[in-house]
Amino acid sequence: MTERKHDISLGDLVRAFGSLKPSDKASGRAIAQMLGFDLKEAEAVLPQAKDETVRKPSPPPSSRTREKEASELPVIKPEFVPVAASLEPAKEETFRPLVYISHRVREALSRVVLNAIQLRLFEDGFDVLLDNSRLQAGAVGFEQMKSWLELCHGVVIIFSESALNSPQVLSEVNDIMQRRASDKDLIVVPVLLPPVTRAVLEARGVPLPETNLLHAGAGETALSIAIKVSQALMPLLVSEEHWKPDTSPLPPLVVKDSNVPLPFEPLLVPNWTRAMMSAALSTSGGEGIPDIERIVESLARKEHLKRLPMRPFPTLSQGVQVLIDMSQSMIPYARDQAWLQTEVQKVVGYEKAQVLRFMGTPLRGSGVGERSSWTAYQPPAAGTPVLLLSDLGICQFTPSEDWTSASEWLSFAEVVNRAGCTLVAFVPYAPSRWPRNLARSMVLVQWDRPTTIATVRSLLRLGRER
Amino acid sequence: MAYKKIFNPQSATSQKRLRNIRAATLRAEAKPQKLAAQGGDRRDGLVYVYTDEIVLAVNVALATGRPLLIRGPSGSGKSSLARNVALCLNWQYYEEVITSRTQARDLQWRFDTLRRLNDATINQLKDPAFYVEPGVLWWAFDPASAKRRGQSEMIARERALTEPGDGMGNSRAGVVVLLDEIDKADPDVPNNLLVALGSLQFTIDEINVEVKKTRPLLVIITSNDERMLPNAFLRRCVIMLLPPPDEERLVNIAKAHFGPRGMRLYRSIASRIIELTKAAGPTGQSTLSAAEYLDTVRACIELKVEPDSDESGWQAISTATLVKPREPLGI
Repeated sequence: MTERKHDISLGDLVRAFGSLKPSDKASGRAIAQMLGFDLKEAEAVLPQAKDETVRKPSPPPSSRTREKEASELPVIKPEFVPVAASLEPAKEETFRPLVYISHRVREALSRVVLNAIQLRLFEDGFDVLLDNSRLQAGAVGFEQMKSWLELCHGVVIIFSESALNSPQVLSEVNDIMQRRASDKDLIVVPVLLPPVTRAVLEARGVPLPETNLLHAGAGETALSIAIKVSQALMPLLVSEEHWKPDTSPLPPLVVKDSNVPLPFEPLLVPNWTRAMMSAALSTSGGEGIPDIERIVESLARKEHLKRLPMRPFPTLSQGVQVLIDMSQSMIPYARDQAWLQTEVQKVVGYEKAQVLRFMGTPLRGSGVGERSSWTAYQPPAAGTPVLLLSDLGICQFTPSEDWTSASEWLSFAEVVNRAGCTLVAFVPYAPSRWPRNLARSMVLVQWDRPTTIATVRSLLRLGRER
Repeated sequence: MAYKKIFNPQSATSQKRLRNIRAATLRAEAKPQKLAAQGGDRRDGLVYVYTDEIVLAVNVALATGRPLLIRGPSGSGKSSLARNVALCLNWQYYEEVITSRTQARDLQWRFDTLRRLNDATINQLKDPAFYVEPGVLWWAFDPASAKRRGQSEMIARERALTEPGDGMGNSRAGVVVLLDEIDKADPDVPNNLLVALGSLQFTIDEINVEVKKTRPLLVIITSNDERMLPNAFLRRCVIMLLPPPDEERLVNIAKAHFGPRGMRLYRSIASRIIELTKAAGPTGQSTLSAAEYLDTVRACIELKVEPDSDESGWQAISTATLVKPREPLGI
């Protein structure tokens, strides 16, 4: 079963269908989607909804097709989940082999040939893995390249003059031939463009496969070269059955300039962040359970209780002021700041989270929007926690406009404390690098994976005791 | 959509019941004013314009016994839906508006610690059950047990327990409970309700009494999405998102509230609201809520302002009801 957005059980789905008895597929789909199931999942468990437009004519009695099997599905009891396929015949996926083109093209001829090969392969049913950034400057990351080389079914190596001088291409050729040695099904098609010849490559010690070597001779056009490359790779299309994986094939790749970015990993453990923010930003407010100790103490002194002493309970009702440091040294953490800001807003509420930006320290001005619109810093109402996302100037290498000193941070902390607010700073560096003396004026939390909810709670407790 | 509806607001029975209640409400009021002249947030639920999706969501929640979580901006009709469902089904109706001080336990029961302490100091301590106050969920699950405070016999008290709700609906038929604006509560509250709402039972700690559901129940929870609810809570609910209404829906809502005679006015105001919302853009404050639209229509009717022919009058009304300044005036 695919992951559902809701954890509502199959029993709920069966109950819903049993009570509401949808009489067409649209109603069944709507009910299933309301509970977070997709129709395929629902159909795997429940009888097929009646829908005359979906039913197909009975197949010939000699063949047992999927339609026949589907129409004979029994009513499923709630506790039985069959390993049944969808009631609709599965669509045949068109298999497109992946072909990686290793290249370094600076010459006009090479570019034309590369483009022709790329287009021809795409038209003939291949998907192309191509690092377009080499056409300008820079290169795809090493790990990305490695994964492409492992995924591809075929490789085209364009040996242009510039490729011979590219350590990257030559390194790739070694990797390709290593894989070829262990994987005989990998088809490698070297294309030699003038003035590169086989003799030149052999003299350089470049390993070459024994077959499929294409030498662009006089009178050859880019198109004819591309056609030959495609023909050399044709066995990949023919041997579709051999290549068909056990799981569904990769989706077709779109050739584009940008690299696939790595997924964003927050500095804090995502699953703990909500609880950490609740712990960091809660204030003592409201009345919780009776404070038995104080009650007993009062009664022991025979004091009449006009009001029952209650233990305060932590609440987020005060909201929070979030201060985001936009200094240069915090640029690497911009995404982390944005992510944590969103998490705080989700926990505290969008209306109750005031978000301000600053450079250097907030004492130099803060606000939302453009820097020119920033004004003098104003602390929030007394009792409202202030959350600071900053490196406190730790990672400043050279004097710059937003250079700060520890004393300036101390002054800022005094402003916040005088306003009756708790200042909690999440700092993306280890405690050994924190400016001294700041820990007395604010609660410093290491903004990194080792920080746990218990860490935050104990730091806050220490901060209050000070 | 074609399915067997447990809840059908268009059924003859529901329509007849609502008509009777509206008539009774009019007669009960001293002034011969129309229902539409009642201002403020309409929570009597007498008028509600359903879509197929809303009806389906209610039916799925009833069929599965899961709470129905309705998400949507303020003024989109989340709260009035619960009341109307109760009226259509002829079920009892309880509601609890959740605030930032609400604790999960309060929705199940409260224990009057101070009264117990005072009674103890004057040597008039009573049975612990005497100090238990049933919460809205206890009343919904088992009203008989709530009235007896979980004991086998009634416990005498200076103040008798009064059942919440307005007394309408058939108690034995079922109950609709509205927990309004749950996102206002602290983040722990939804998690602390998981057991009660999931298993439809809970135990009163102080008197060790178990309360279980004894009648059909529909719990409707609303959220303005001001705060993200915990995933564990969301996973146990049937969730419906009420999107901002389009022009057609606004007109239908106005027609249901004020009658069919002002269609031109309704369309004119609805199209202007849509324009204002588009002009505000994605980062601007949205003015597109059914409640503000109804306020505007009501103001235009009462003050006899036609937007198409009285631009200054329209500007004055729309400024007050739609384009509300949200920033401090700097006075």
